[in-house]
Amino acid sequence: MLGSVIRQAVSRQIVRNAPISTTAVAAQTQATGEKKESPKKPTIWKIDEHKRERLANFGKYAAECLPKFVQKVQFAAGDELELLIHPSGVVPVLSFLKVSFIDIILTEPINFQGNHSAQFTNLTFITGMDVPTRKNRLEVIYALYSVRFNARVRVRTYTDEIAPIDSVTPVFKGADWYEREVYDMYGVWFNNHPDLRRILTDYGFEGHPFRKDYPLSGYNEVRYDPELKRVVYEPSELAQEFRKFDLNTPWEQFPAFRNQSITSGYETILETAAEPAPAAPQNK
Amino acid sequence: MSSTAGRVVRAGQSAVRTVAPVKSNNSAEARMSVLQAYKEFQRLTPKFWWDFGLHDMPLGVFRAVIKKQFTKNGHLTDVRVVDRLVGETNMHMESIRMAYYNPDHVRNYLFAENVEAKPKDFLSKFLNGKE
Amino acid sequence: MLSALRTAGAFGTRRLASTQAIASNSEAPKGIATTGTPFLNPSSKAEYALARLDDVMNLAQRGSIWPLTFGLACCAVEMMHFAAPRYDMDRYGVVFRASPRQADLIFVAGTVTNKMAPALRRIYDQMPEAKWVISMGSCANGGGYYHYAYSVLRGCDRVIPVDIYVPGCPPTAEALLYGVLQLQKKIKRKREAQLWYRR
Repeated sequence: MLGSVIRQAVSRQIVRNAPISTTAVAAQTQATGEKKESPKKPTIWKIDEHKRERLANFGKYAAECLPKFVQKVQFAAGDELELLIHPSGVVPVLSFLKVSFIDIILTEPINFQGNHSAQFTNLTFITGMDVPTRKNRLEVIYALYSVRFNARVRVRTYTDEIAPIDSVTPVFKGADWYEREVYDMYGVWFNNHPDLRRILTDYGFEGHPFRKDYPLSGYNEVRYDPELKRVVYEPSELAQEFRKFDLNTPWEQFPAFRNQSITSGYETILETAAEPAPAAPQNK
Repeated sequence: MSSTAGRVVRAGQSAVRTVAPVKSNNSAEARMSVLQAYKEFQRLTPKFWWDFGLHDMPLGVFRAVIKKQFTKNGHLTDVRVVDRLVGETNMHMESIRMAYYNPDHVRNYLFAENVEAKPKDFLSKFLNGKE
Repeated sequence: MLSALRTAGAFGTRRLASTQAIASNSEAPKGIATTGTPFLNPSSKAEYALARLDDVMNLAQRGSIWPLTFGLACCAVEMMHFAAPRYDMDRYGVVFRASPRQADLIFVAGTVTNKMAPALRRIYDQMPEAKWVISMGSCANGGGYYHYAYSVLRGCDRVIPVDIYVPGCPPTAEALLYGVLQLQKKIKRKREAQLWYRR
């Protein structure tokens, strides 16, 4: 019965198409013919080669302008430009990217629209990352967007749990809450931040939840204590612990890349050698 | 990661690293900043005590509680960690002035009554009446 | 109440019917009299009077339950749907009040986090007596989708006592309506005056 319904629907469709025009039907069949020829599905992101080349050139230009800080320039996932920098150079690099003027003063916020090669004026997000196997386990990632040139770039720095990073709030006012979030979730301290409090976790929460060694269910849970007449914290007692089912599914998403790591698709454009950037002038 | 001269590591001596400071450059400055933070907090304490409904205990006892929060970190030697904690203390003070915290949160943080108190073995649980 | 209209002619026998065995009363369901009161078989005149007083109080209370808006997360949208024209809650006398001092019901709609828990308790304490709680959605019932998270209260009944749990993620507005109707039934069988007398 279903088959007959479908056949009826199809036949009705063909009847409807006939009076419109024959050229429309011809164009339709031609299009389906084209689709059958190309093996790719239309939802795959098309990498614009021209834009990619321009981004690569910009990456090299940025590395030449700021040799002290930029350690690596790479393309992640085809055409996403990433600059990997030393943590002492966060403010210079971001203010450079914001206006792309070489001889800018590093501590003042800049507002003129001079002669730019890329204006990454939009701070899209700041986030962190924790890779506990590294020596500098925490990474801070700044994503910038240029409205003028429709280009995106990511700037990545690293730190261990205690070393601070300069805050970019003098450059981008919107970095305020993002840096508070990175401090709250990862424990990265930002120098010269106007107001570095916790933002998402509970008041008086101890610990940094997004680190990999913080358990999912946390350490303390909350209940109301009628004797104390207030809400109290107690060590967590879950009736059933979190169970993760890691079943192999036949619909694996990328079967061709099963044995490769995420960073295997990254292409390095420029890599400067080893330890740059001086540390503080005095010891502790 | 020793880069400058004069940082030779001898056998038996602990390694010395040159690192970027948070705020203070040496432990004397760190001590000064801790004492400043402590004095400012104690100046804030009467307002804190009154506004957050903690006046079921006398003010002197509350001052001792605040002091305990400072002294429980007294064993730290790394200047950068001390700087971070001083910064966090300043942020606590700001939150108290702006009344961001609830009295319940303050009590939970300062006193933490129920956090350690769970009995683990059968006999303690039985005697507490829980099992 | 059609059954009441039908027995209107036998007015004098209505009281008798409610005190007799239920089987003889074929129009009302079991456990409930023709007038709808659940208080059958009072043992004395005083108790009969107080049962009628209870009836009146309960009718007044369940006819106009005023909830406090406590929409925290996605369930709040379903709560709004409940207030919207299709499942209109105003026809049940349920109008939203913004202040806890003027409310007698609180819909806990959404995930309660640890940060929100003292505020929720404080709001509950600020409501005047004769208050009820409807816990709406699986997050408010028992932590729900975020049960294993470090910052989520695993069920709002850890801090406030709950009367009705409405399951769902989110519960449809119709399910919430059903929950409110169940609360009305629960209020109907409340025995405040009679218990006062018995104590």
